[in-house]
Amino acid sequence: MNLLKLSSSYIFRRPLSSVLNFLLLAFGIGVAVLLVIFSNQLENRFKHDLTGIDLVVGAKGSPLQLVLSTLLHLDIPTGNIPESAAIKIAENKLVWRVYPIALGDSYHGFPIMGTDLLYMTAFSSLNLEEGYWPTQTMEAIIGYEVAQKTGLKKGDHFTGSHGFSEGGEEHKEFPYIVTGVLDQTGLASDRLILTKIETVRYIHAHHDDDEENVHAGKNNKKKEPEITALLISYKTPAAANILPRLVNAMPGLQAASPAFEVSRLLGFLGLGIDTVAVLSYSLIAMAGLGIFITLLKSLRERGHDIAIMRALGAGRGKIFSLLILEGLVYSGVGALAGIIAGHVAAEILGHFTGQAHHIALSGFVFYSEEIYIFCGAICIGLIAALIPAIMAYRIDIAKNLSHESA
Amino acid sequence: MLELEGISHGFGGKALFSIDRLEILGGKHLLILGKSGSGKTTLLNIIGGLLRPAKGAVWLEKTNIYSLTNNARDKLRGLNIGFIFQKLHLIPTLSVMENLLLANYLAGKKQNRPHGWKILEALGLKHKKNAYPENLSFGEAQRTAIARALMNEPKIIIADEPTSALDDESCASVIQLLISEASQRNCSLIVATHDHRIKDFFPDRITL
Repeated sequence: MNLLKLSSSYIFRRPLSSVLNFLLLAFGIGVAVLLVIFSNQLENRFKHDLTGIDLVVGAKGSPLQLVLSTLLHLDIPTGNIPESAAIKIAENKLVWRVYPIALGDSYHGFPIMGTDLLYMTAFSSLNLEEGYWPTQTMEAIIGYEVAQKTGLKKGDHFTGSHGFSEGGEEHKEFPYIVTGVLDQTGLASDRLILTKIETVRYIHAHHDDDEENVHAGKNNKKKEPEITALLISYKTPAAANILPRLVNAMPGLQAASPAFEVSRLLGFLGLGIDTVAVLSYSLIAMAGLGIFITLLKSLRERGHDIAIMRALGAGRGKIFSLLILEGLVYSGVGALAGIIAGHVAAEILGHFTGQAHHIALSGFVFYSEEIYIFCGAICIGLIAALIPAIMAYRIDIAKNLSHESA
Repeated sequence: MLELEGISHGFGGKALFSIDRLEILGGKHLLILGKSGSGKTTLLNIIGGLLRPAKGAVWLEKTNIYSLTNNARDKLRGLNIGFIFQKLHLIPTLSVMENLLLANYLAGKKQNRPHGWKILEALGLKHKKNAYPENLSFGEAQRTAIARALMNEPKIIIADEPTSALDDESCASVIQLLISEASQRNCSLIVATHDHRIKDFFPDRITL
């Protein structure tokens, strides 16, 4: 026998209202935890995908689209830029490193990105499980998820198709060979097929040649080589003030700051997150009210019980603790159930969003915010139990025990 | 052992009763007779440390119990006084044995399960130790309440109208049980009742 057992015995005594209290709280906490997991993992993934890149230079259009297409691979590119312009920017003294990328084809919906060896080896997140980096034209390495979903492995051949959705025109005459599979990163690179930029250019040069033959006579001018975008690392932070302005002044080019664009995107998402958060806080507050009403109502039925406990030697403090503990058991168990539910929901949801939106949530990561949510829930239970506990503290034993009032 | 000194109590300025001096020696029993509303329960509450009298003092051995702090008085009551109320007031969410252990726990004593078994056995309730109050007959519930009052081996057992709801036969057996259990443990039994059937069991009586 102890206070916890005594408290719990009253909670089990009224299973229906107890279950309702637990559910309300667990639901509210679950939604709050889900939001924490969602916003953290989204932010985390975006931040990691941006690591090392200070500026993206691409064709004019939406700067957000430029960042989404070149770094997060969640959108289609804004267009191409002439290589000569890219070289001009790359030669600027404020630039430390540049990574040219060429996009345009995909395989089973996974984008094929042409770049150079510097890009592939510059980022510590890119690790080859086995195999070697592409050195020859038509060699490619594939991301972890690509390998999982398509079954491709080292030594296999595949052909890309034009565009980013499945069903585009296939470049059957240009088969790639897989030279390696990247380690799992949880980032955009999991869904990427990397090849040398020369490969992309090679395929399209021939492809375009074919087209030009069809439209013979219309335009026989040799096309200037193009790339999709240039990813830039600054040499000094001061470059942020100068380079974008320089780029934007060039015809057909725009510069987008990944950090700025992604925080703008998260800002849009934040509106929705805030709305759902308000909903979850209302649920938690309602659960608190539920606990308060349950305890207050039970107090009327328990006047005698409390008086007898006093008669048996329990001090006022013990009775006070008993009621407080009941509130804490409600909120503690509810909050714990909510946190577990939130993680289970994140894992299940992650399964679907991973397939549909290429943003995989994991339910197996815990965040410090959850401690605050848990403590908040405990406080709600404490506050809800406070008034009933004070009333129990003040109960007149003699009055509650005398048979006249019984 | 228990001494009442110049006790008077009433409600709204009207004195309900007053007792100049009353002493109960260790192991002696007392019957408080009186009609409904004569203040029997009030007097029991005063004796039991549950209700501070308007005037007077209650001495338990050498302690004036109303001069103690609230907490000390609660503790003293838990350790020295066992209560059996007319409404039995078993805790409905706890089993028979848990109700007994609760008495140990709330008095701050070690929870003595074997002692509980012994008492339940003596009262013929051992088979009901895991039953809940709602599944007990009135007689079983009353014996459970008696068992609970005995759990902390009190010096005094206070019983309020223990027999008023019983037929003649049960009335006699319950009061005999109470007296024999109290006597065996060298414990004073103080019974308040309007039930004249039991007055012959008590050589010491007062009437309010």
